[in-house]
Amino acid sequence: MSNEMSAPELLRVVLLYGILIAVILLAIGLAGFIIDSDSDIEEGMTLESLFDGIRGLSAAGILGIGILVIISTPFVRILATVTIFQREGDLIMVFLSLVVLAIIASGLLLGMS
Amino acid sequence: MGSILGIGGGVFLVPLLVLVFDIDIQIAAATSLVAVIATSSTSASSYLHEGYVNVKLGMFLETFTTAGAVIGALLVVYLTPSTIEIVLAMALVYASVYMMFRAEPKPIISASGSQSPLCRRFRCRYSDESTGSDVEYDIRNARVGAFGSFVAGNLSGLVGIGGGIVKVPIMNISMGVPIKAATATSNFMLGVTALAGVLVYLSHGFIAPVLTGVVCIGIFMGATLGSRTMPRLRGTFVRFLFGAILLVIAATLVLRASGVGI
Repeated sequence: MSNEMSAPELLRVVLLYGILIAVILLAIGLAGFIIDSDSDIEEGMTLESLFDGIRGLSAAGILGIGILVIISTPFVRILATVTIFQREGDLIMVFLSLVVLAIIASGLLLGMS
Repeated sequence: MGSILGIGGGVFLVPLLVLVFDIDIQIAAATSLVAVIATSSTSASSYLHEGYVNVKLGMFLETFTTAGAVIGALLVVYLTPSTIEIVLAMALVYASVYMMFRAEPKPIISASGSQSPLCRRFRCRYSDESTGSDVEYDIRNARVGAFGSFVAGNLSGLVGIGGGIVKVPIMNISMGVPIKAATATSNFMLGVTALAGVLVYLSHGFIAPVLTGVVCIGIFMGATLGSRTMPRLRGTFVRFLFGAILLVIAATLVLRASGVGI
């Protein structure tokens, strides 16, 4: 009997654990913010301030990690679909998944430029 | 609400943050996009477990919505905001009238093996909790659906929302996907559509960690409740609720494009 998860179950686990880890990090970060922080609620996060916050283990740093986990969840989900379709031998769907990844990457590069 | 309707909730959240909490529009839009991803992940994980999501149909349509979203974001430079709002409002009025007053296309209950080749590839079936019956449906107008999804992604890139307000009617009306499968599949797709926009906002420093943290925890609780409620609702109710909300959003957009302050 195969121990491999079904495709919907694997995707469900990726999305569920992604959001659960993120919510726990956000809750810890918000608790830290309430206890000891003078940050403005509208203060934006840059990549530099995020890394500074992570190094200093500040509330904003933990919140930033939580937000990064949320953002990376759909990316990991697409990688999981590539694995699933490859396992099923559905090369057309593997190709379509890779096309979606390429479009997102091109959008990011065009947006930054 | 975004979870039940498969629209992510950006169309509700941005006006709420800007009009009620007086948050800057760019910060509000960035917060909304992260919240759309949170809604998508929370509700899609539940719908995947229930079996409503059509994963292959979602991935097929995502190629067109993401391409449309990138091109839409580039078109923003060449169109005035009022033109964009009027275009979106017209599309919403069209979709809302159809959602509220047109009967849902009857899902084709077919004997095993009698589905079209496309539907056999996409595995078009689910078990409806509200009626206790297995629904096996067929997909029609795949080309129209692909083109419509491209337009949906295009509008999404233009107005900075998840795009579910267009994806759900396209899947339901044009392609004949039952409303519950369309809603769940839209939720599944929304996170990917919002991803590219979020990365751009992040690179520009528009994501506010504290505000986003508060909103995402609220979204997580709301989406968890919403995705557990949806399977018990009748398709007709979901469709009417969706249509009525689209009309309100369309009227708001027309008023704003006409220069009426809101």
